[in-house]
Amino acid sequence: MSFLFPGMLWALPLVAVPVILHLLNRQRYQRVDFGAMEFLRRAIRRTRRRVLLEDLILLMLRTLAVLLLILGLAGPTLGPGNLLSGNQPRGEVLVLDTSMSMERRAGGGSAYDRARSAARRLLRDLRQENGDRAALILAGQVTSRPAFGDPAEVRLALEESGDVEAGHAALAAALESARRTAEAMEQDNRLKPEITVFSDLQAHSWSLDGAVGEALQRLAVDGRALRLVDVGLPGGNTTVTALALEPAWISPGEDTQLSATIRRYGGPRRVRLTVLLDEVPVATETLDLGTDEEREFRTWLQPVETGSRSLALQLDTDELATDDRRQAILRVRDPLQVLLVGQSAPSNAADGVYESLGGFLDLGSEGPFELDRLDPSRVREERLAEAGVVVLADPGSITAEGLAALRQFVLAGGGLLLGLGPDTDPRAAARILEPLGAPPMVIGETATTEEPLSRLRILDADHPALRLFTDPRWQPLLTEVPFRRFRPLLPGDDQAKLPAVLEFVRGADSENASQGAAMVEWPLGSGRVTVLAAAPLTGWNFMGEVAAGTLPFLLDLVNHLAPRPRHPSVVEVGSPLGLDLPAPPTSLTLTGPDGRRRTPSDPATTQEGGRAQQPLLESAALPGVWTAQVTMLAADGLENDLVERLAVNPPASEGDPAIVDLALLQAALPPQSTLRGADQDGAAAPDESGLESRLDTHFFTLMAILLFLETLLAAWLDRRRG
Amino acid sequence: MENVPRASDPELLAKLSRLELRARTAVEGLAGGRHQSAAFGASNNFAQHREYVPGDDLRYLDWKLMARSERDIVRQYEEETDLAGFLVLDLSASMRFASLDWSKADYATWLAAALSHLLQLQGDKVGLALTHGDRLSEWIPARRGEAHVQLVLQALEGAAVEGEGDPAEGLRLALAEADRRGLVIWISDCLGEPAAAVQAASQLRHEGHDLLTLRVLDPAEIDFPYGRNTRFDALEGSDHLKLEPRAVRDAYLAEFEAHGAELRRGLRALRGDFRRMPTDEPLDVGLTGYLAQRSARLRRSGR
Repeated sequence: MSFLFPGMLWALPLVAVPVILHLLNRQRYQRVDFGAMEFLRRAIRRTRRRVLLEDLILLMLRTLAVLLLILGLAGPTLGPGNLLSGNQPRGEVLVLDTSMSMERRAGGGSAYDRARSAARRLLRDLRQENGDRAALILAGQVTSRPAFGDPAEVRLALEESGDVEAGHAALAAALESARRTAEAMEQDNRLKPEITVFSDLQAHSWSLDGAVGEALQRLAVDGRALRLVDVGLPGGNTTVTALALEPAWISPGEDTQLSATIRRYGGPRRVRLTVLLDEVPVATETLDLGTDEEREFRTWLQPVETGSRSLALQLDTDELATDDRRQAILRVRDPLQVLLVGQSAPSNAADGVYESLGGFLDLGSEGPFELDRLDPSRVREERLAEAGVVVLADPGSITAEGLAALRQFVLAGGGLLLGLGPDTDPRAAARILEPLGAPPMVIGETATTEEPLSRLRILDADHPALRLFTDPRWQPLLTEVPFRRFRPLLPGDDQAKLPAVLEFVRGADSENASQGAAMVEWPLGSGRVTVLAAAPLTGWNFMGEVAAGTLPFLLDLVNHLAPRPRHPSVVEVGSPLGLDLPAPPTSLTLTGPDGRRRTPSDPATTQEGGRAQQPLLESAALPGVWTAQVTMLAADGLENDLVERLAVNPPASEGDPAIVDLALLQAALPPQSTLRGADQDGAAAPDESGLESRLDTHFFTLMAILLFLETLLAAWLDRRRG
Repeated sequence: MENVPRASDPELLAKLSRLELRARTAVEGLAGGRHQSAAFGASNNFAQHREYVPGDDLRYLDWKLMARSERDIVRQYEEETDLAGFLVLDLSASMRFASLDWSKADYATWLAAALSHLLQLQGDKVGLALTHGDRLSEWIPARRGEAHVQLVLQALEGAAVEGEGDPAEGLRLALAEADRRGLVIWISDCLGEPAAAVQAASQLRHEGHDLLTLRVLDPAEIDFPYGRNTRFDALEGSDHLKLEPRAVRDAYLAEFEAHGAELRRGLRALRGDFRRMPTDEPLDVGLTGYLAQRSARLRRSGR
């Protein structure tokens, strides 16, 4: 037997209180001068034994009642195996679910606190000198076994096990680790170890159809029973299940739309949300949510300062605090440098691609780009250094050095847009495409169509440049533009399939046969090359709804081609963190959401074109915004500093408090396993595990019976003694 | 009727200062409260008729004369007696016990005084023996007259309450001093051995005395009403007992009643009268006991 509150046992000397009171009472006498003493003496002789016995019984009942009261308040429990196994050595393998949902709090303590408290009690009586052995396995994103063997070390590891992780629990791996640990314990120490799992039984973690179910089956095959202790706490939860920015890569002054999804599983109906930009509140709103209701929240932001900006959506903190906040990263870059390389068409300037693209992209100081023009013959590496995107429009006379510079430019992350018009020299274009790693394709003969005219058909609706046209209202702006003359892109051989985004079709019927690709795109190194055979000629401007220069297709296409870090800026807890950098870093510091600085030890790997992939963390455990401060050596020999932020979010599913179907779980557990709830024995004390049988109720009941007997006896004695 | 104060109530007597006054009050109260005249006893010598007053013995109503005169008439007889009343008063230390404002000794003294006054009113001789357990401290031979009664009262007033031992021994010593036969009125708590008392009474009867035993007891001795833990200090001797009275109460009462019963049985077997006198009750019991015993003795003597 053990006690939940052993400190109460210090009150055990109080059992002497009835005896002391009895003795003190015997010291307090009223004095009477009495004559008939002889009768008293005879009466005492007659009653001495009986009175003594009655007093002793009364005293015993009172003392026992006090003893039971103290023992009952100390929370007596009958531990597993204490009485049943006697002094046999015990082996205990403890698995603690450290997933984020275990952080759920109620009444001051979390589910994880309950789990640790219960595990602590289970380990309390184990001694290495008695032959006992123990092991602790933490089931977080990654399973770890911080201690094995000496129960004292396991106890220490339990105390130092820290908080829960903000991610899923790899329960399957943890169960497998427990199985192997038990096996090793059994072989080394000839024990019959018990495996105890403390978990909130969240449905997302207990995937019985998947790996967890398989791990349970392996335990069953080994003949190992499982003690499963439900330490979950009731209560609602409201969480931010998603947060996105569109686009997440903008120039100063551009808008980005923040969209978030808020889901309420229970708890208060009214939820106040705050949008924070670099931790400064920029918008607030109060939502009234029904149970299990999911609500979209959208707002527009227009940040001006450049750099890697952190955005967060924060809800009122509830029982599960970690999922009340979700982060995103908005990159506000310096104005994009677009270099237009080409030559004016000698005869009809209006049909020339150079004039056309230049007209659409050159928006002056109001535009999102800084457009510069360059003669094809002057393309050099140093001229490309400042550019983000190079637009080639009929660049017939690019030198070999220029072509090599363009290839290097793309490999290093630059974007290249090659615009082809009906009068483009296909040989010159093929010469440009050759060093750019183009897929096998040929530039077709100039097609000339009469009514019905050719139109564009979207092949890749997810292409970032086509995002506007996924809306049926605006799609005709792209697919209803008539083309009379054009050079389609055709596969180089019959087997090849071009990575086409757009294609030409004749007529309005979408079933019409393809006339060849209108837009083909492929990656090269860290950059990207796009060939646009449907260069926006003046005919596009015949549409009255579209003012010149506002064609979003081209703007989005150039934005899409602009160089950017290729690493994900938002990841889930447990995912690796890394940076895609223009050059290998000369120094690097990573600061976590906890404010602690870390220096990544893994070296960067250099990519073709000079960009570097720098691993930061193998597994990001802490949710929040991580900040990397990087110094790189530029081509000109000067050091460039870069501050890059990365957001780590908890898995949205961890906020769902739904627990696994207990009937299914019972069925999936190995034979002889037990599943006990923390509240199974009645009162749900925060540290009650359900693992041990609580005896306090029995003690109090027995105490009440004793007090009842004492009252009866005392009343009877009072009545009999007058 | 129960609540009507009586002249013989000990509460009233306790408020009176002089013993003589107490004696008179008790006796005259008795005369007024009962159908029993205190001044005229039973005798064969007719003296006169007079009108009935409350308290007269109804046996002496003259029915024939009442029928003629339509008045209530009683017949009066001359007092004619040479009865000697010996008051043997036990003033041992146990008589100091008091749960009321007066002790057993106080009550016994009032009773003795009232009886001596009554004896004197009846024309009987009064003798007094003061005993202190097994010791006799004073002996006043039986004499008649007011002056003698005053002497008796003085002895009572000045008597100390002390001494230990069986009061039966004191009774026996007192009787040894008696120079004539008479009615012995033993006023005591009788806390000695019943056998000793019976033996003394037997000797007393053998010598021709009649015995009226008035056992003076405190109500607390009869009911033993004590609550939790009490230390009982012996009035005779120096020992004490610590106990929870309620635990032994039943046994005490059983012992006490058994003692009383044995005493009563033994004394009554010797044709002696035995009356229990709780100190919270009027003295009537003692006084009427005396009157009854006197009548019986006079009847036996043929007068």
